[in-house]
Amino acid sequence: MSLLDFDFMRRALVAAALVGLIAPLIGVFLVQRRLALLGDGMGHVALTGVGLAFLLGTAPIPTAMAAAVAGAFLIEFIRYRSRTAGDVALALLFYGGIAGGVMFASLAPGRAASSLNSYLFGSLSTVAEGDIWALALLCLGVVAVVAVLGRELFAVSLDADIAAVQGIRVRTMSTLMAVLAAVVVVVGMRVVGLLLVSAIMIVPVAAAQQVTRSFRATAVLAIVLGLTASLTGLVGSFYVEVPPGPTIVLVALLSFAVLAVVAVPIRRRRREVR
Amino acid sequence: MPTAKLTARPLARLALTVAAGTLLLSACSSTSTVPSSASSGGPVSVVAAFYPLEYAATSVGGDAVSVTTLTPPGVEPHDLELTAAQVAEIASADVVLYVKGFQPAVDEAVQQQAADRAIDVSDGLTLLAGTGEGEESAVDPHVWLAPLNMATIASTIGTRFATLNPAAADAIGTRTTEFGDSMSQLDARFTAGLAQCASRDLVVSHDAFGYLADAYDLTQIGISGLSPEAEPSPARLKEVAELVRDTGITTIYHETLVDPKIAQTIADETGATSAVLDPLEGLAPDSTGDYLTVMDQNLATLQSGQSCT
Repeated sequence: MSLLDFDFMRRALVAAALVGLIAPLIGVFLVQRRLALLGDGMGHVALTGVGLAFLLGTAPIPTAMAAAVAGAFLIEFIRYRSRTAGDVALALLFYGGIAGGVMFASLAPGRAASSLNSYLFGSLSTVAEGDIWALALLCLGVVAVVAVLGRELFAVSLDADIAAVQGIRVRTMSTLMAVLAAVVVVVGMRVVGLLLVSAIMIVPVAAAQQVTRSFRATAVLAIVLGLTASLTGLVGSFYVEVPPGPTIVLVALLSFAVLAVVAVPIRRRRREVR
Repeated sequence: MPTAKLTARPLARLALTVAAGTLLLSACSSTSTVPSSASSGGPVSVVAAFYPLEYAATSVGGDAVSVTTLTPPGVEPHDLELTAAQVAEIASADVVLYVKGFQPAVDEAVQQQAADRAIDVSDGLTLLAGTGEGEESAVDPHVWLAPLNMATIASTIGTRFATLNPAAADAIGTRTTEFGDSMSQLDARFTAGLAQCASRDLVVSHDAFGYLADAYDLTQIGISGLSPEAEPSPARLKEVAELVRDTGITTIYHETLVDPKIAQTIADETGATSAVLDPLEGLAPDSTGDYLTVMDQNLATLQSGQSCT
């Protein structure tokens, strides 16, 4: 029986494709801004949201979203207000998020603590139809924001000072970027899990950067690589008994390794031309 | 002499550290001498790792024992983490009842605190090998799902209770016999109820029902292996869905304490219905039943799910 005969595989493929598409799209801004670990921080904060959802009996996806967006505002606030460096602000979020998530989940009644795993490591094969609609809507939102404000976001990630001189509201854009990352994290939570979601944001971008020079080319190639990794990873786990989330991330890392090797002669040629 | 001082100070510090360390170590080792409440005439203090053991202990022990349970109602016991207070309970209990290989946290605490006072109730039972792929333990720990195993467990712990509380030995003996009888009757109900069924394939969300399947000649097909929170891969889901379609299985069973999503996915995929089969790893928080009533419920569920006549 083929892959598409199964409803759960059709749903999983759509979810994986959505994440493979939008994660690198936001990741390329984060990498440019040297905030590659921001997504990871958001993932940890989203875990607090999941724990809170168990405790309060609310739906996990909206609650995780609210927590991650609150985290996005918080991190920009910490970075801006205190003298704390960006990486320390991230560290605060990491630890606070994990501790909060595990704490809330263990306070919650019943089966909560054991369900936490499916959010940490993803549960692609049990994505429901309602989830797909929610994910699609969120993805549409992310793509729309990038389409409208991509230029400003790019300017801020390239050099915040120059962007400020150009009259771009740097703080608003930074916060927006963090919020976008938060949305991607929550979308990716079902696919690869909160612990690995940042990988699909960052690894395809890092791989693309090996061979591309312009921001736009990097973004396009990263999205192609992200889609390829998430779909091949999922399809692979349909034929071989391996978990889909880690497979997707390992495929992405493999593409990085391959492109890094391929890039060596390309770079050499470029240097010779110059 | 400044140089002499400089060398003396680290030495003094070293001495202090060693002294402090020795103190700490001696403090730790003193916990191994534990006051026993049974020797002072009170009821035997029993710590049961999870519900079915609590049920056996209270049924057999009656008022000769006082039982505390480590796994609170409604908590999935496989991944239980113990609080410091619970480890202290294990350390000071007269008897600790557990199943080796079922709850890693309990195994560890028992080994460190109560190795000489613990009973691994799976000792002396005929153990089944772990089925399915990718399971972590070689032996299936879910022994309590066969009523006759429960009878054996009860007689093992009854013997221990009687030695610890000789005054109540007769009463404990009577209750052990009664318990054994009620388990034999339950076993007879299962044997009769599951004798003629349209399907003998039992599709369950995790491999908890090996002993039950073995006792009543059913074939267990677990979706996610021995441990309930291991997420099945798409390949495994496909395999089970195909099997369900091909063999015309009509019911997929999921559990009370574990998220039913996976069983639900397969049921939706194949048009089968899903039903709750309770592995009795713990009672639901709002449950009013006990081992017997839940097992009778399980029997009824199985009879309709497997189309038994």
